[in-house]
Amino acid sequence: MREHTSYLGEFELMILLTIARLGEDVYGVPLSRELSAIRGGDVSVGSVYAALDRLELKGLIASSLGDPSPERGGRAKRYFRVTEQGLHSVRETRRILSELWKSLPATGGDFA
Amino acid sequence: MRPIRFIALATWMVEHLTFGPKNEALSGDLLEELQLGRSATWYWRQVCSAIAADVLSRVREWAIPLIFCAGWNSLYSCWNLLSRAAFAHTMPSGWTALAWPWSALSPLGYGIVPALTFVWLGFLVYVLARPGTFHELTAQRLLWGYRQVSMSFSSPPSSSSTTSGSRVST
Repeated sequence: MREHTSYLGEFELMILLTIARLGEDVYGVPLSRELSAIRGGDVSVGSVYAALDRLELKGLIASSLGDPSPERGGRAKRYFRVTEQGLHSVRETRRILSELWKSLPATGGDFA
Repeated sequence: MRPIRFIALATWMVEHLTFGPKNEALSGDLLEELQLGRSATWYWRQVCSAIAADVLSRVREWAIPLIFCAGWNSLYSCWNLLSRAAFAHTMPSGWTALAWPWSALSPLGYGIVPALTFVWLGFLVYVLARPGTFHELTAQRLLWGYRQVSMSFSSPPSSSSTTSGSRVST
């Protein structure tokens, strides 16, 4: 039977790779800051959370609630980590993108 | 209005105008960024974009079912004509002469049954037309469902309730 794969969008892939790069204790603030640094512009925290919501629904990331802290007005942090399915999805996306890049015809170095 | 009230209003908005379990973490993140030196303007911009992103996400999630509902409901007048014509042939003329409460119940059924049938038919059409339905309806799952139903009929309720939580992996 053919495996049912859901493909990743560009922003979703960026978020998955950033979580994987930052390690275990990743929550919204460092994630948004890292994404802003990589993309070279301010990233909306709300759009990051909307993408995180989609990724969690797909089972590509998992989240857990931390302890509340006073500098956050008593609100708890939500920590994110990439699941096995998420890692598999990242690898699959990389494989497909690599094949597409390799299969490009020579166009005078436009895509190089 | 002082800036602190603006911040409180923005925090209330992000916690009440966005959905899901993550809005508390989102407002906490925004407050932490504010503590780290971000401006009130940045905070307001982030709140507005968070609400907009959430609304867009929900609209995208529910767009297909909503469009299908609107399209299916537009067919109701045709369905009503067809069902009334069908009922006119099948309904015995003596029903209207029945004693109360049957005389009151028969027009109720005459109106409700076609409407409920239309709703459930729409639900069935949507489920069958949804991408991935036939992928989910594999022979293994059908067999598993048949086994669950037959077990629930053959065994006492206590033993059937323990097996109902298990899932099949395909």
